[in-house]
Amino acid sequence: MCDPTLIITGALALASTAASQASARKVAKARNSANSAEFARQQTLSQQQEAAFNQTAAPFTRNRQDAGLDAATVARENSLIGNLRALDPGSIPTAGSAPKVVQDNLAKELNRSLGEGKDFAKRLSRLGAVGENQQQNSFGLLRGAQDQNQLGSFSAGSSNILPLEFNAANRRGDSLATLGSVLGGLSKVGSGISATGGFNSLFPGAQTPPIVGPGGGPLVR
Amino acid sequence: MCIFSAPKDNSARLAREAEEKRQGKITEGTNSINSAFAGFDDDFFSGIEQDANNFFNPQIDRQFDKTREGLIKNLARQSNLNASTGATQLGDLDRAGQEQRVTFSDRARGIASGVRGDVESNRAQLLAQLTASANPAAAAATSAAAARQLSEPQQFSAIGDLFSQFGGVAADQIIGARRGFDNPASVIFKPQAGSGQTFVG
Repeated sequence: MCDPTLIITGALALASTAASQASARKVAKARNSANSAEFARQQTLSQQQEAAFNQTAAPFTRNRQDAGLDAATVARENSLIGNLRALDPGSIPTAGSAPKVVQDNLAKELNRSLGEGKDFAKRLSRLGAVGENQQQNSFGLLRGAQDQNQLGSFSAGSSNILPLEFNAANRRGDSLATLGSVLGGLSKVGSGISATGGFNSLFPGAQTPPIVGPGGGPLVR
Repeated sequence: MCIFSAPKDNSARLAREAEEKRQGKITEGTNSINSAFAGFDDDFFSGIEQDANNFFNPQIDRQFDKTREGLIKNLARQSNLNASTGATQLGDLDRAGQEQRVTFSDRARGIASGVRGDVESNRAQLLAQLTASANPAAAAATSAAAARQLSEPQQFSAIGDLFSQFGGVAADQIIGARRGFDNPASVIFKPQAGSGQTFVG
């Protein structure tokens, strides 16, 4: 007849293994959950960083730069030319006897100086517009860097917590692992008993109790 | 609580909550800074440029008009006012005047650009500090103070002597006219009776 100690020992070993596996599954599930949540967070931040970069990079095409330079040039020209002052030839106190050719010459000179002032304003505007456009580019890059810095800070702050969450996940199966260990320990005790003569060696003279099966009949004879 | 169960470690949950709170504060602080700096738009910088023009142009005009007056007197004294050489010299002066107006207008625009750079730099520093400190209250207070300081009227330095190459004639001519020096200019530039002032045309 089979020693019941051996059967109990086997059952305990099986239960111990099952508890250990359940513990491992629980840990793995918790780690996966933490990892997935962090992955989703990082993915969102990564998408935001990509969008911020695209927005920063968008003006840096030849067409956009040319358009920006032209707009800056026109704005600057309008501003500079707007400050020119046309001098009225009539404000010059030439004597009434001045020949018409002199009066015409004066009007021509003043007209020419105004025209040259406008040309000077346009040339200076073109030069200044390069700097103005470059300043706009720098501001765009700076703002892009600010966005990246902030999103990077969010990303680093979030990922720094993942190891803590992994640690917490690792402890999620602690109860089952303890149960598995206890069952494993009992199984080893049972093995020891079985090896030293089984149930009868513990209780000499005692009748081995039958192990009752599901139908009420003896499971082992 | 079961005596065999280990005490619960909430460090990960607390850390996650703290991080979410930090990010929320940084977002809140960023909105505060953007709000404080919203007034620094194109109109604001155009206003600074206009302020600078309003400062420079009257000085240029005053110097120009004074130099023109002196040149006219000198040309009249030399009997060149009604000659082509007078027209050329007046044209040269006018050209110099136009160039100065353009140059100072360009400087006015540069001043506005400089302020624009200062504003952007201040905003960047505030955002960097906010990201490091995650303190939206401090960010809001500091950005409001910075915005106030940046909004204060600009100081412009005076413009120097712009038409010195045409100078030296007016003073001589006025002195000559006052002393009754007889030349064609004295008709135009004699002091007005009783006022002691010279006048042109």
